[in-house]
Amino acid sequence: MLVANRVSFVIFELITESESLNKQKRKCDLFCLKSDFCENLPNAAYDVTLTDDSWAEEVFNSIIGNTSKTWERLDSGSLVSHSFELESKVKTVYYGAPALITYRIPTKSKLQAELEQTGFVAVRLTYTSKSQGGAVPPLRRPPPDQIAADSSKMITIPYLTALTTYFSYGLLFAFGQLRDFFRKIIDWWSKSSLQDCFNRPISSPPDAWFDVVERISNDNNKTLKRTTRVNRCLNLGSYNYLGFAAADEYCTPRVIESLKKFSPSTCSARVDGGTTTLHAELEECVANFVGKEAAVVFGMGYVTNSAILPVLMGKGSLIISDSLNHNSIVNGARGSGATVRVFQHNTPSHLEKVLKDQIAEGQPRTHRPWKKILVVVEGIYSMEGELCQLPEIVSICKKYKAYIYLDEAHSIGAIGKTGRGVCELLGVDTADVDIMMGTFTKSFGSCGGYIAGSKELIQYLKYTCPAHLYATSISPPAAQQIISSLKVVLGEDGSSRGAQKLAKIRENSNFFRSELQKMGFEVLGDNDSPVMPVMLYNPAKIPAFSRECLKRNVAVVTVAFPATPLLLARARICISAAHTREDLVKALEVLSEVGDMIGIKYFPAEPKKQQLEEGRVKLE
Amino acid sequence: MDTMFSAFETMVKSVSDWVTLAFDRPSARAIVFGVPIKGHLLVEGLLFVVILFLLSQKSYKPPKRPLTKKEVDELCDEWVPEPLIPSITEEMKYEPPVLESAAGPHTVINGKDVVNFTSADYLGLLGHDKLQESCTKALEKYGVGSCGPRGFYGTIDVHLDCEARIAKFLGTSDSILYSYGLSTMFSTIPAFCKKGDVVVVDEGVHWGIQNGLHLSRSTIIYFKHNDMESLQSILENVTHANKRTKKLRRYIVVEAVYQNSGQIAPLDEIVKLREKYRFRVILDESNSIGVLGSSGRGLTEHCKVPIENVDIVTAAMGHALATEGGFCTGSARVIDHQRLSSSGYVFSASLPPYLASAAITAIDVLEGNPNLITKLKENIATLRKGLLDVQGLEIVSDPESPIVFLTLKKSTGSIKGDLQVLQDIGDYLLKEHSIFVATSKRSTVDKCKLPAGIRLYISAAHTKTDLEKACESFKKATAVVLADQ
Repeated sequence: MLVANRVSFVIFELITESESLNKQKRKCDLFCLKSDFCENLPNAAYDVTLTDDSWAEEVFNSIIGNTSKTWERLDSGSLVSHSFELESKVKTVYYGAPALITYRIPTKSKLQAELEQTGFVAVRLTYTSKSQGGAVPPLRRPPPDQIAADSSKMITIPYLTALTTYFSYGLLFAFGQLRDFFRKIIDWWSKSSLQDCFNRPISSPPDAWFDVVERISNDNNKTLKRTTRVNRCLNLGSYNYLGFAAADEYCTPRVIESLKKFSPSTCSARVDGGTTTLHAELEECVANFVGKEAAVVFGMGYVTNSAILPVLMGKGSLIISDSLNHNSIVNGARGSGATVRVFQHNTPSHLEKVLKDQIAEGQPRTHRPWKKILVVVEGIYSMEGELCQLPEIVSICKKYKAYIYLDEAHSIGAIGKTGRGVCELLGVDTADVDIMMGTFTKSFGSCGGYIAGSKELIQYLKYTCPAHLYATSISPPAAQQIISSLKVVLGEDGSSRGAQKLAKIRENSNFFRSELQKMGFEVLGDNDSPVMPVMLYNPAKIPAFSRECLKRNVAVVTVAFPATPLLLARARICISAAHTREDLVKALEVLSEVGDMIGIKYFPAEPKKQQLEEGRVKLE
Repeated sequence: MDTMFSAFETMVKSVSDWVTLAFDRPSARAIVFGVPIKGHLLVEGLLFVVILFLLSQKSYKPPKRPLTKKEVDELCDEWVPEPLIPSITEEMKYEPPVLESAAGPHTVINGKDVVNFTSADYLGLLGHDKLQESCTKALEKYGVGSCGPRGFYGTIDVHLDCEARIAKFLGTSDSILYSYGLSTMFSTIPAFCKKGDVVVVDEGVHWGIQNGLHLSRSTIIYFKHNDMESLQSILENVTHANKRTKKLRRYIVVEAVYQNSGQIAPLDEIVKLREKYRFRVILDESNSIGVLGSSGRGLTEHCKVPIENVDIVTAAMGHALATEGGFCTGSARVIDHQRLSSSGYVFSASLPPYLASAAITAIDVLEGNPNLITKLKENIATLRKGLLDVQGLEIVSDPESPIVFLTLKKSTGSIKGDLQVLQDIGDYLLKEHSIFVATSKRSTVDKCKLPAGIRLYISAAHTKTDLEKACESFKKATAVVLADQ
């Protein structure tokens, strides 16, 4: 979530104790932490509880800063975090993590000042009022339209940026039209000035560092020729979350063994002669890993989505899909013949509204009740880096008897304490998710996808899913790679490498994200998510960013229209457990330099790191 | 005040003057049915005012009463969804046999060595030394997965080499790799066919094509399975029935060797029709690359049609090339277009590099050993000959097709019933004779109406003994199973 002035939202609970000791607990939904909120607080001492261990240190430092003397550490307490009633429109800032440290801030004005400085923080405020009269002062909520404007998923773009972006696209469009018009006369115009920023070939595994093949063009980027020269670049583009992309000491020998035993392919569909012992083992492993009764695997993630949805849903059923779902889901939904409705990206309240309206209204024209409703969401949205608000969505779906389809393409293996994805991270029982889908391309460094669910569901899918009946089964060595990497993640290989990898990716992601934010980049997405889009906006900045980074041996992915809305072009950074701290520091230096050069630090940089370091030293 | 009053007075006076004048005008002295009406203009004027007044009034609408919150809640409470899946029947519990070794011409099931006719490894390249070697090298060098779509650093040099190799082999200018056979067709078709386009397609095409057509939202017209007269009459109708058709993009979609029947499309005739009616041809060569034609270049070589006359060629590599993935080949423009607008290419992780490297090696091996194709053709002929006099089953596939497709002579009346009988034959063959065959199972979402059958994939690696044993076993199996019916 992003708000232009860097003051983010805070979920907090206000607990007051009046003089008469009548404990009054007031739950306040959500407030924009601005000074006007503090105005209504009585002048008293405040206890601020930091509530997420991963940010604790960082927040700690940013809050304390150079005013540490005014804070008094109390004790480490714990917080019943789920007692929050979340305003569904707004991001859940955190879940489940215990509170670490409670600080006492002596006065209201101090609190106001501190909170203003703080960025993205989840705090619990407790204040003890010893003043006369036990009445709790009314908290002033921001007017509803302000909440909507602030808290909606809209990314606030500086006015000037929006204007120049539109202008640039207008210019591009005009030149494009001109070019079309004069095509016969002038054919020398370059085909696309962005051509060289995409499809860059590599000649090594997509590990933390990889070799990008240099390409040259003699005709203004119209055609690009490969050369034999390569650049060793830091890879911030591949979905190599756990670092299984390169040869692995545990996986690779087993993969090669499987290749010897089973050959690269079965040349047959699963249901005919394409099921080997490896496939059976893989399905069992996957079901165990994600916490479902059974699973079925396919040779391609895209096909998993687009071939399953038509089997489950059909005419007379309704698919409610997040507005930013992946193309494979969109195609699957379209291919199913079911009616498709879209809800605002990651907004449970809107989902509820759509569900209510649709159930009340029934099918279009005939108004018959819907046969069944399926809500399709993703665990991590790959273009936004955001975590799905799964707990809220699950409770809404339960309330309205809709089924849930969760696509964990980017989240399985990458997040959660043991890598079990968004359910584990957000504390959702997998029994509440009807269909769990995921891919092996990302965290496990292989290919293919799976569907996990109840035993009956999987039996039915195996009976009728076209991808199971007609498509060549997943390549045996690829299946072995998944089995082996799963074993590493679970620690069944006899080492703690899996746990280390998981800790590392979390640490890397959170470090990189907070550093980028401190530098003043506009970074989307949630903490813990290894995907972090950095906003570029202006089309001219896309190739500039990509080329300048590549020049400095950092490979980043830039994404623009039509993959994103027109105004919201971005660079996407994917962090891996294979990155070392030095790699990330180097990347940050390069990104900062390039960011200054092309002007994409849309926020003011935070106070120099040095001060923070000082703060840290003092505390220690 | 005075001035205002006097102005008002003047106005009233001038109006009354004007009215008198209007009444006295010659045109106002109308005579209707012999009755002179003085001043009808005034009456009309009044009428006009009344009409204006009426028009300005809102017309009557029944009051809209949106559902109240309570009603909506009640509806939500009352609504009972169907179960996510229908209840599980006995037939849904089918578990395919599990292979304990590679899916070559012989494989191990339940610890028993069986002859495998379910693997479309037509040239017997599965487990070929050179392929294994190139895969091992690629695995060591690149790891397994590519960890990204082609656009975002998922393009590895072997992908580009593989694309160039395929194009060189087939004599086209470029080709594009897909990461899965099934997705090739259903990504390629929607990249070209759009809403409003006309697509004439064989009714026996496999699900990948059906899904692609559905996603394209084009107007789809089916012609009778492999029936050129039906195709021609439909093309004739389409072109002449509607003048607008000439402005639309028009496509014919066929499979080279139909997976659902084993028949071969007569490409030479189709290309003639293409020229005559000016359609574009999309051809799926999944089961013909490496099989048909003297050097394995597919149906175009088999029918002696220059490949330029087919606009778009797609193929899955999970058959003769003994690897995985798929490709599309054609002119450079056709391929370039897909690199930006084909969903399965843009939005999916790329093919694991070792499979691309296997494909390159497979083509090298194929080019170096044309005798593999001769051997395959001999095997097809041997098996067909042996299966001719099997009771109760008939061969519906083309004599040159590597898929031998057997259907029941006497259908039970439903595809489901047929399948059950055929599956019984298959199970008996596997259990008693160690012959592993597969029936053509059909998904509930598949619209193909062709009869079900037993599909035998023949490989060049099958020995004569294998084939003879299969024929003998078939005779015994049908005798036992069909006698029970």
